[in-house]
Amino acid sequence: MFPVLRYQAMNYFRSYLFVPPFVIYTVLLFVNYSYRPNPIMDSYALTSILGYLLAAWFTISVFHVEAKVQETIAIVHLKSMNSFYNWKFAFVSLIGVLLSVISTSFPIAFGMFDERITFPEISIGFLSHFLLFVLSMSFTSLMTRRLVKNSANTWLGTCFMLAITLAAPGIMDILPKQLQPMMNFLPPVYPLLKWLESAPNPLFTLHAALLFLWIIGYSLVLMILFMFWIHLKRTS
Amino acid sequence: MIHIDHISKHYDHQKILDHVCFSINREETLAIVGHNGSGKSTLLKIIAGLEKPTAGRIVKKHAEMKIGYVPEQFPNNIRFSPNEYLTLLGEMEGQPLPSLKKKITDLLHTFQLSDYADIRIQHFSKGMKQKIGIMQALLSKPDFLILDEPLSGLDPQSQEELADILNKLKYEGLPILFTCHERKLLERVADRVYRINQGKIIAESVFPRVLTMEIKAVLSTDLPHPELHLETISKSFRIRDRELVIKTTEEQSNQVIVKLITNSYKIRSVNPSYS
Repeated sequence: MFPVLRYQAMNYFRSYLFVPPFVIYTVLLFVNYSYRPNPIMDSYALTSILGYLLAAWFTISVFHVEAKVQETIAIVHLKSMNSFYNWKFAFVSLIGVLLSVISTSFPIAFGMFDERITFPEISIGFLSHFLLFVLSMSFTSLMTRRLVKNSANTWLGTCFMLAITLAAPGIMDILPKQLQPMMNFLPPVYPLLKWLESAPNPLFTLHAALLFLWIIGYSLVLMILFMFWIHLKRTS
Repeated sequence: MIHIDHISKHYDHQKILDHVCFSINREETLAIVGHNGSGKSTLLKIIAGLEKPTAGRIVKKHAEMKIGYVPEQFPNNIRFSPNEYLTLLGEMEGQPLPSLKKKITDLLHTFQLSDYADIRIQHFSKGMKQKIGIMQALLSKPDFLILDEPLSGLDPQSQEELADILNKLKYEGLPILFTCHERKLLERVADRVYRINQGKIIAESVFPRVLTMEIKAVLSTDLPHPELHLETISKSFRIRDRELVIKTTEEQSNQVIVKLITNSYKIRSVNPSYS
């Protein structure tokens, strides 16, 4: 197994910092499916939001798990700051894969849905969970201690972004018309949720593909911005 | 070996380093002293490649020169054992596992931590953690070692132990650059000292060094100590019970060792020290 990934995993799991977000995730998953039957895509939309919120918590805890000096030593041995943070992103993404698998398979395994689930629905369910998790990870990384001095600002900034992205349609309604296009620059959370709730048939359409590509592209841009910013901080 | 060529560093328009310029030669131990906030640590980070200077450059003899870096204050909560931690760091460098394992075993032995190889570092004392800090820097067999305040916060015994380790590394020919506040370490280890103030080098002192070998030997028979006439080859020696401790020059140390062995002594240790 890759040594940096092993290093991240051992360090993180031994810190037990994963316990609070994971417990909250599990409890809320149980609460969400406490009655049955449930509509498939609506349920997946709701648990995707849950993953989206907790991804921020997982990201901050992974990025802050070691002291700065320990991080520096690892970067010196790896000889690449980019590589070190890429592996951090990879590790958080793996947590995202795990949670997405749990969220998608749990209601299937326990027969929580009102109808028989199809393969496209399972695939879209998994993708929506995973992509929202990655999106949340990528913008939360910009609030972590490498870039934000005060840790209180990390949490405040992240909570603010999470709230704004989820409340985007409400904000859009109260904004003056001239300012409304600005909302299109926000992380594309609401468009995905709206699409999931509308449960179109068929699911795999050009619109779905573009939506997913938009989220992937947006996340990649944020991760590149993170890398660019840490290098800028190093040289400034 | 390394030339620091007019290095300057600014943070938010604040001048941290101002045209710092000096060279580090082969087999030389160099110290940088100065008040807190004088720019010492920033200079070390720039030489180690962890930060980029605002102006100036670091000229290395070889582009792929390996630099070992020991940061100030080794982290407290490392959740790995020395074995796990050093193995992971070595693997990150791309070192092959069998030779890496051997290197780690040797390092643990040298630093007298073999008995603690599988205990998590977070449970170690400050001195032991600092040893791990130096071990990780030596893992890649560096051409040059940088230490940021290696004795900071250590008790006198740990300071003594670490000074011995640095002296040993110096004797093995490893060029060392360190910052410190402890006069004792400067006197024991440094060949040259630069004083830095407000980012500028304001003074340079050179310590001419005499290498002394301290030889400890134990008489292996019950007979009294034989007449060795050590006065001719050593200025300083003492006898306690069966043990004999002699200080001599490097050139004469072999002669002393041969003499001791032929007179039924067992050599316990030979330690270099600089005075």
